[in-house]
Amino acid sequence: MGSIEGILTGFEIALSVEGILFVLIGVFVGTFIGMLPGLGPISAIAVMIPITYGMDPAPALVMMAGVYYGAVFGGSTSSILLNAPGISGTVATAFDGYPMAQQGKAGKALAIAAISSFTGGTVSVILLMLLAPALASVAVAFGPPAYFALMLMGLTAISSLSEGSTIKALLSAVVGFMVVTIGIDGQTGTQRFTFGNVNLLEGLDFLVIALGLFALAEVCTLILNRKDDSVSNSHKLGSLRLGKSDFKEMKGPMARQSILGFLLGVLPGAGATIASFIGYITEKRIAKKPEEFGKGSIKGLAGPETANNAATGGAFVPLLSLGIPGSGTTAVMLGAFMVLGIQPGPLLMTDRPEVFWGIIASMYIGNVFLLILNLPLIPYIARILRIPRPLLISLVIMFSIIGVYAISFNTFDLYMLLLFGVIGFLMRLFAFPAPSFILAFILGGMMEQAFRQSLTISNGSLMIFIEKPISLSLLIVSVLSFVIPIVQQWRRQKKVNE
Amino acid sequence: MKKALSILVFAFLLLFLAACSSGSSGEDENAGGSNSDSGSDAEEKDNSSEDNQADSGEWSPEKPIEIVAPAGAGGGWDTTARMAAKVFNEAGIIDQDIGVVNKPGGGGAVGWSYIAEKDGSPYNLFVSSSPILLVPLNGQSQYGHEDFTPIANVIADYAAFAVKADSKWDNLNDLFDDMKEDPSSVTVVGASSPGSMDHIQFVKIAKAAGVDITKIKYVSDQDGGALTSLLNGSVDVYSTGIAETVEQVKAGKIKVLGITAEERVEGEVLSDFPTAKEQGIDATFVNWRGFFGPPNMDQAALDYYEKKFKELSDSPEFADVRAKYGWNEMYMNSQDYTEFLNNEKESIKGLLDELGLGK
Amino acid sequence: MVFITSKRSGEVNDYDHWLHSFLTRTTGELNGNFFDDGLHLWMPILCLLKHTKQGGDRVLKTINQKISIVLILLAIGYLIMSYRLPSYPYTPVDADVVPKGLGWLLIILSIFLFFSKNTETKEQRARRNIPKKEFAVLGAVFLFIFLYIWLLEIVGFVIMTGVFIFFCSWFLGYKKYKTNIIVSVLFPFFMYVTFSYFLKISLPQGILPF
Repeated sequence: MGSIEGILTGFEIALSVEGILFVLIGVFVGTFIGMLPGLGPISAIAVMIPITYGMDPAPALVMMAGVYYGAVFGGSTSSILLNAPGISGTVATAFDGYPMAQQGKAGKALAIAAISSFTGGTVSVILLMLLAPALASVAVAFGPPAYFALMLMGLTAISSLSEGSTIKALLSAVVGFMVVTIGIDGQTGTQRFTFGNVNLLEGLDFLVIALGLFALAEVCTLILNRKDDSVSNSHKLGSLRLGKSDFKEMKGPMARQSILGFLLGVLPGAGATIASFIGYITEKRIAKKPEEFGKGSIKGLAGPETANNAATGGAFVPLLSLGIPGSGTTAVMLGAFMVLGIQPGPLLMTDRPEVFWGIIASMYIGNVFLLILNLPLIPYIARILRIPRPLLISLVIMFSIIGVYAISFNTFDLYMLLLFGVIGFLMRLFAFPAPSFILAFILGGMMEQAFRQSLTISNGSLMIFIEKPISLSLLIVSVLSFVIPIVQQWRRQKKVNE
Repeated sequence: MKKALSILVFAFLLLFLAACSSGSSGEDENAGGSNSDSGSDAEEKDNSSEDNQADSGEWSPEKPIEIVAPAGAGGGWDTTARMAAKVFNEAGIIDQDIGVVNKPGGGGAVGWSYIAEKDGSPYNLFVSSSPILLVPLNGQSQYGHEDFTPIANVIADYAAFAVKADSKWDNLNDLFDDMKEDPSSVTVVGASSPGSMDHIQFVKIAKAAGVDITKIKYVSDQDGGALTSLLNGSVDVYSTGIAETVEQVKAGKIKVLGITAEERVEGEVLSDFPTAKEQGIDATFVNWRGFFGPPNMDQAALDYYEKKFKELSDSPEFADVRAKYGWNEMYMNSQDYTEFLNNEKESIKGLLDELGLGK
Repeated sequence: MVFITSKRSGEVNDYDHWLHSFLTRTTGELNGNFFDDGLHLWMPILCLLKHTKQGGDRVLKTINQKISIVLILLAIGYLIMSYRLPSYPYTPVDADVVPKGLGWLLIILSIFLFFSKNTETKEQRARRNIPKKEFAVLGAVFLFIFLYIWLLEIVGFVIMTGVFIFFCSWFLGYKKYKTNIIVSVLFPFFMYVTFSYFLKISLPQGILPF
């Protein structure tokens, strides 16, 4: 069966009544679960697996895929409204989305997020459809040295995430990196910094850190400002309407990040998180007014939000065409495939074209549904901000606690959440940027492992990092993007001093 | 002065709150007490019911049963527990509700310490596999299988060692010969850290083939990159489960040099995989998976569950589940299971000691 | 702890004393591993908080200097543990290499911070301008959260969440009792049902029978 025929079969399935119905159910459940702070696509998919038991594979998987990208789509809501990112891919969304909501433009922020998500999702499906077979080889091109270089490149974003002081950003990052070294070391099995506590053996979960540093720290600020009238702006939802100038701002980031995000999503292990951070940073670097970033910039919201949804589409490349799960979420997806008797792999496209192309075709429709579903809901969802401050504070705390509890079922992690809430608040007081902390936390662990895997493979020779063109070029980019901003800042300071 | 005052106020407030809290915690202790009371009520009831049934010598559950999966949602333990619970209820093998609870953390250690506290309870089961032998041997859990009541083993999986399709090795002996000559030229990748399953299964077979196991170069990739690293040539050998290799073999991307089962496994493609044994390497490795109860589980309850798991294992519904996930049947009753576990642990301990990883 | 007490007079010692008794009380009740370790981490932070609010005086003049000392202490603790990590024979880069690097890097960066000029903007400085009373409020809310977590598995999700939402909102000045009660009764119940029955994620049941 040729590709075109396959695509047509796919659309036939996706556009059948059954197909449409299951896509709708999938994206609805996905967005709903994704919107709950602390619950991400993994929980959403795991919840749906028993329901698909006994269904036909194609509609069932169309639904599961819908749950997956639906949850990523909905995940931005809690980031924007409450500064409580539920999945690592939406941390960067909060950087500008939350300030925007605080300025009384919550409706607009959500609308921008929805439209960027839609664009990122749709472009990535087109790329997926055209390039999935060809990109399969790209997905396996990255060995440990290349991953090390990629993570390093992601880490260079740290200096761009500072609140003025590069040294404080670096300090935050080093401490974030230190926190991720807690737990059993992957390469040796050595327990590091666990204090003999079983709860620390697998390290601290991302959510504990993210909800502590962002949501709980924000709660502190809300408490301190609860009587301040100047913040009453945030009660306003603002207009949903996006003007021409808004679209003009969004156009660039959406176009760039759909493609960049997709490509990063294709790489197993990199995924939506790195894509969204890199999306944020590249937009900030090339923006004419980088100083607006972090204060409610449209570009700063559209960039990462496009990128993380595009990356979700990209993640289907290794999953569908190679059977390689690139993340925890796609690993659970792989489980869902197996339950239905489908083994994703290089042969899926020829053996079960209806499944392969059905999923891809359904993603077009799913993304349209998501947009139609989300846009009219925005005014209602944004009403969360109208909840009186004291009550809202209590509810955010409760949601953070549920979110953490639902992944570990353990109060230990809740105490840790509280601890990181305190740390996050102190970091705010002393202007240490939390974003660089969390970025180092997310990338540092993978980077260390990739570094040591590489050196084990090469028997200790550092040459392995510069022998292959991929890792070499990524390393050069990393070094440059780290050095240039520092030089720039130094020059600027010199000028000021003169 | 002002500062001191405010600190005083703060301290006072805290004290006040602490007092409130201790008051409320007192109440809660009562509440907790009444909870445990109700628990002991239930136990008494169980006892009485046991007494009632003592004539027939049978025990049966009177309240919902909990199966703990000591891992997060979506993994092997979670799936096994959920599928077993589902078949138990849907096939009418057990009428009581069965709930699956996830207790992730520490490679299982968090879940085990949770169950260890349920001493004697006939309502808290858990699912486990090789890590319950390996994790305590690596010094990462104070509880091992000896601390629990093995009920029954239900399924088995075997390891497969795969290389790229265009690799120069065609069977395990080729590979091991090269490894004997120059161990540093061969890198093995697995998804778990050294001293745990993917590592030990390879070490066990390699040792039987006469390789110096202290020289094996093992890399662990826990972010899903192990297969990728094999396909792009970063590493040479992939130590994994059989099921993970099937699709790639079908597509002609990799080849399986050997599996660790006693005999060839049935199934399309699967039956082509040679065992290590038929290549003259006298060693096997089973990744078994079964169910355990808390410490000191009552004999009557144990008998009950043993029978029920046998029914489960024999049911056509569970056969379906096995087929779906590519699991092999391997039922063992409590006694055989315990013996099997003791032997396994002994053999693994030997390997770890030789590697200098035993704690 | 050490660096602060050595430089300060009675007042801080009182503070320490109070803190100490508070800690021993909590740890005594808890008996857990966590708080032994957890509070040691907190102590320098708590002291620092208090210390910096006294304004520039004695040895450590700027906030940056104080923070850098705290970070150096953190780095030293981390490094001590890093150097004690057991070695693993079969890898060119052992588990301790990266942590050691991080520890030293933290020390170097902290030294930089120590001597760096304060580039804080007025807005950033204003963030720290918090009345004492507000700190008490924050402390109290954190105590609420602490109790909520502590009792969550004992008393159960529905009751604890309801109690928490009600008291926390009331404490923060929410005066509409009726709405508050309705929310704190219905909301936890709704969440519990959604999670336990729809999402099959079991939240602690506690003392309630369902």
